[in-house]
Amino acid sequence: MNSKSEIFRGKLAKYLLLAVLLLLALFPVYWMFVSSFRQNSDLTRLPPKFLPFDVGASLENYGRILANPRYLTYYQNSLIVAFGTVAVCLVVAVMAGYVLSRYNFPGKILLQTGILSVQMFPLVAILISLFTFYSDMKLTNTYQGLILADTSIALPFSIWFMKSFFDTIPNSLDEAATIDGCGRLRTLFQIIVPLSRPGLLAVGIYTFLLSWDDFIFSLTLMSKDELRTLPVGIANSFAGELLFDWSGMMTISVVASVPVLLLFIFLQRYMIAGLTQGSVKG
Amino acid sequence: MNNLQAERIRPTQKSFALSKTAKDRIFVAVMLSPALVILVLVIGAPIVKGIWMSFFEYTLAMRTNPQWNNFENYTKLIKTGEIFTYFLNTLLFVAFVVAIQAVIAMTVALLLNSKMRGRSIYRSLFLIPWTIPSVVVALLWMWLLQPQYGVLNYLLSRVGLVEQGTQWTQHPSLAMVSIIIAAVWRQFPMMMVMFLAGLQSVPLELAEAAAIDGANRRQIFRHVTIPCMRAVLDTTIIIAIINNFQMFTIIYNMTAGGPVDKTTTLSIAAYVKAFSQFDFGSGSAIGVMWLVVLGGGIYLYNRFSAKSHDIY
Repeated sequence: MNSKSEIFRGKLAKYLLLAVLLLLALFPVYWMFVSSFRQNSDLTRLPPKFLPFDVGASLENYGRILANPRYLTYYQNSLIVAFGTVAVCLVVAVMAGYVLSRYNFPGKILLQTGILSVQMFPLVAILISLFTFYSDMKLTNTYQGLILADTSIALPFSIWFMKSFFDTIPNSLDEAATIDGCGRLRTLFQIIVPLSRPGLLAVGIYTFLLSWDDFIFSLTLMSKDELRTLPVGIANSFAGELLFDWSGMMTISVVASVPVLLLFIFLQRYMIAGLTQGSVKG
Repeated sequence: MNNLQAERIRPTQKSFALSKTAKDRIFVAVMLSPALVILVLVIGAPIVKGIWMSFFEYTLAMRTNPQWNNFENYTKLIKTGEIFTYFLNTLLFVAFVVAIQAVIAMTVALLLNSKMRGRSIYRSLFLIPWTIPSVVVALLWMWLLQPQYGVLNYLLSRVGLVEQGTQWTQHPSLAMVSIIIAAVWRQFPMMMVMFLAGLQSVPLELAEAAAIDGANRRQIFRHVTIPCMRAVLDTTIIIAIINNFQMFTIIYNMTAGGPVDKTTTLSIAAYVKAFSQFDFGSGSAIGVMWLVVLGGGIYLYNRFSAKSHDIY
């Protein structure tokens, strides 16, 4: 029979397993932060000091990294591209998602499947010919070009997410608005969009993360150093001569992770909604 | 006279006024056009041009004058056998990353799905790796696995699993292991959240009924939980497979495909062909073969999984 000690043992095993997995998940992040507060001379000494204040911690690395104007430029570029992508993607996805949710027309199913299957096309292969188009149209080394490319990657999921979000808003609202003499566009932007804030936030965050994380588009479409985004900027500066500056590398890593961590802390609910919506409802 | 004019005007007015359906159609077309224009310009047209380019000698020098080269981009890749290496590396990477993360994600999801205090806090903590940008993930794991001073290398060598000073990212077989570890670490949280949402959609009554009928926990998991969240499992795993076929950032920054092509996946190979060797034709040919194989695989998977749905 299930004795009390047996249940206790089961619980203990469960929490032990949970603790081990949690340690594996979080230790690398912990180590990134710890390394960013230490000097290279302390990091290259064995055995490593595991506790945060075993060796002197200082903000010196942050001063050193943030005083370098290159990183501020990369940071600024990343922010411009990410916010630009979010803006374009939201407007386009709301428009497309709304008509896919409210209207029927021939070829709708085919169109929806087509939009979604775009995601499985080999990105690198697309990039090769996209690069030739961009060169011809003088779109390389422009923010617009990179924003357009990032948008196209975020769009399929965003459209589909907005469509399923609009599906949850009753159509009777649209009908009431029409009877009151509201045009189609006004119905969308004055009645439906204000009710869709959670959906817009989820799509906005998803798009921001995708653009912030983008490496390959920025690597190939931006060749001028002053236009590079943070991921490529970091990779370039630590691939070569600075390979042994581990504390600097971890410092800029923390700096690059902070916007996403902040988003996560404050807007977790919407991020998780964006993540799960897809597989669970679809 | 007046009547006659009025009669004349009415029909013309009617033919100019659009029916409601026609207005709807125009509205739909206008609203969809920005999305379609972007997708066609940035994805559709490049795919078509990529297929076209793959049949030509299309190098940086010959950009204005590409030459039909009688399938040489394809035959070269097959004759040298390199395409098989790329496929094999990609399949190894994708299979291990998806399988390992599925097991870890399911374990964590099952642990978090039971009654416990502070469940949402645990879920948040587990999600943190997913917030770290991919480039940072690559650098961070290079630091953890750094031969002389890497913490993980130090710990593993103390336990006796590896020798102190092991060059993970330059070792013929450990290079693959290191990119798999980094990718799993970044991705499993997302899968865990999906699985958790799927588990929570399994009706409790079903599991209870099975328990009353004498099923043990393993049987309930195998015959109730898994079939109930089959749709979630399928979607999540297909998405993970597609995403890992695309994986570039972590591999490129940790091993760049090395040592000697040991971690050169299709995406790395296509990139190197096009942007390091400036052979756009061969790069595109890799992309075309990749598209065909992945598309075929997903088609087969869908048919296979549609059949297995019928069994339940």
